[in-house]
Amino acid sequence: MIVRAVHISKYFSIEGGVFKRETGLVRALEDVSFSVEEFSTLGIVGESGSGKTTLAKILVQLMAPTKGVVEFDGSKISNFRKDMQIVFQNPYASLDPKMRIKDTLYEPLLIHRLAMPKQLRDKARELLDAVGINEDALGRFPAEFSGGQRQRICIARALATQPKCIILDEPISSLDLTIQLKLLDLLLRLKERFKLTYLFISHNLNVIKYMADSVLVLQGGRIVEQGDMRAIFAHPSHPYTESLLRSARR
Amino acid sequence: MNKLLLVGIAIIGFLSAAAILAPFISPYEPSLIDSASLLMPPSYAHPLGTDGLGRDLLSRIIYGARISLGIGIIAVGISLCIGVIAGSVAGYFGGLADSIIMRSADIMLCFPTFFLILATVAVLEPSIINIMVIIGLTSWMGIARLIRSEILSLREREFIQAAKAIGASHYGIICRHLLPNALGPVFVNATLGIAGAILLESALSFLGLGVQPPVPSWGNILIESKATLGVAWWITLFPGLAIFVTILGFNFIAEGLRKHWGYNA
Ligand SMILES: Nc1ncnc2c1ncn2[C@@H]1O[C@H](COP(=O)(O)OP(=O)(O)OP(=O)(O)O)[C@@H](O)[C@H]1O
Ligand SMILES: [Mg+2]
Repeated sequence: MIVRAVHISKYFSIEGGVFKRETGLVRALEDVSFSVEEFSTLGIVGESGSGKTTLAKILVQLMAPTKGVVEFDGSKISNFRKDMQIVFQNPYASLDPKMRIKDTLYEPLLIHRLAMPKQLRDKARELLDAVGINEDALGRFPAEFSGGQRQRICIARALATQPKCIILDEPISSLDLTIQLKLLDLLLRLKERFKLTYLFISHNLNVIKYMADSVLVLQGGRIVEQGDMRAIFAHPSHPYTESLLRSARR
Repeated sequence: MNKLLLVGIAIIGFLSAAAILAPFISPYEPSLIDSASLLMPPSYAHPLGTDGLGRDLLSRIIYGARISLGIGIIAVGISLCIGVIAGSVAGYFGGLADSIIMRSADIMLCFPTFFLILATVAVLEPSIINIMVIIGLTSWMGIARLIRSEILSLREREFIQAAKAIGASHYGIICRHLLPNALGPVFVNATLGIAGAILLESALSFLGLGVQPPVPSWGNILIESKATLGVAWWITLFPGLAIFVTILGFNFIAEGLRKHWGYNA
């Protein structure tokens, strides 16, 4: 085990009216528990609004759960800001538009003292090389890149802290089909090369099948199915999983 | 770069250069009294004429540019510092800090600022420094509100979340990510603020509480011309023109920046 979620629930209160009274409660996650093995990929699948992004943000502590805790194996993850990273769904909003690519990459290196000032450029070049981006990107701004290129740069930034575990929140869903497959292969190669653990979020079971060892199916914030990838593909036990499978086979 | 921005920068650049180079380009000492040439209309010796004490108007306006532009820029600099810090803290941290800061801003906005400045200058003395500081201290609220609302809209964006995830500090997130993305509209606002501060000093001069003679500011030159308005139109026209052109220049820059950056507010 490298990361474990223990009975996590997240409720958002909806405030309405002039006096900001609480008028409703969105149960984005309800009693979610699972654990992730080191060097494996856990696929998290669910339709839009099922709580995938909320779960991702709670795991990297960008958001506090209403109930429950996230536990780390202390021998593998000592500083979760360094050892856990996240890549977001929308590459167009994930890079600071006012920052050159090199500064975006230098930032994590400087924060965690992973490079001396003189080595910064070489390190940044290596990171870009690892994700297949030409080094002349260093001096440019995000606006000059396509969605696929930006997502690669986001992956490079995540790799900069030398993480053990990366949460990928629908990293390919906003990209063209041809680029999607290339990015998935890149992610598989990076996983081997840097000995990573992935939590791979998607709404597409085919993608999950390609990437993951085990899978967790979310519906309306609850886990409806959880287990080994192949077993679930062969014998889905929940009707929701079956319907996801049916739409994936199409 | 659009034309508006270029024209604005040209105007303000020209006036600033004149202000900086005042000792080298002004034909006379600004307070040199020449009883042989009182109230002379524009001529070759005195391009903009002379005033009731025989002082050269062009020289006084050039030196006045130092005072008037200086007051505008430094006053706005002070209000920018306060407004940016207050607005970022309020927008980023929210909660109690936000309530305290924004309520203070609301309270300050309720006071009629001009009378507040008037009262303060009357109690202290109307020195140039006091005027700058007081204008600065009473005009940060708009900037704070603007920064706060920009930061509120940026705070949940993915690139800010990503910066948190790589371990950036609050300070790093505000200074490296939030402010560079939030400052655009604030600069537009501040540019107009400089024009506003110059006008405010003129208004204070009108009530005798602006920069005190014999130090020339455009405001007090204009006000001193009141006595001789009937006989010497140039003493009223030229400082008025200087104020007008400056305000126009800053407005051009503000409007030009807004277009250049694509805001439509
Ligand atoms: N900050 C918030 N305030 C209120 N409700 C929220 C907030 N964030 C998410 N929600 C709600 O929580 C639920 C889960 O949202 P979440 O973004 O986690 O879904 P998702 O599975 O990532 O969906 P998608 O596939 O569209 O990205 C949704 O109903 C959403 O409206
Ligand atoms: Mg999502």
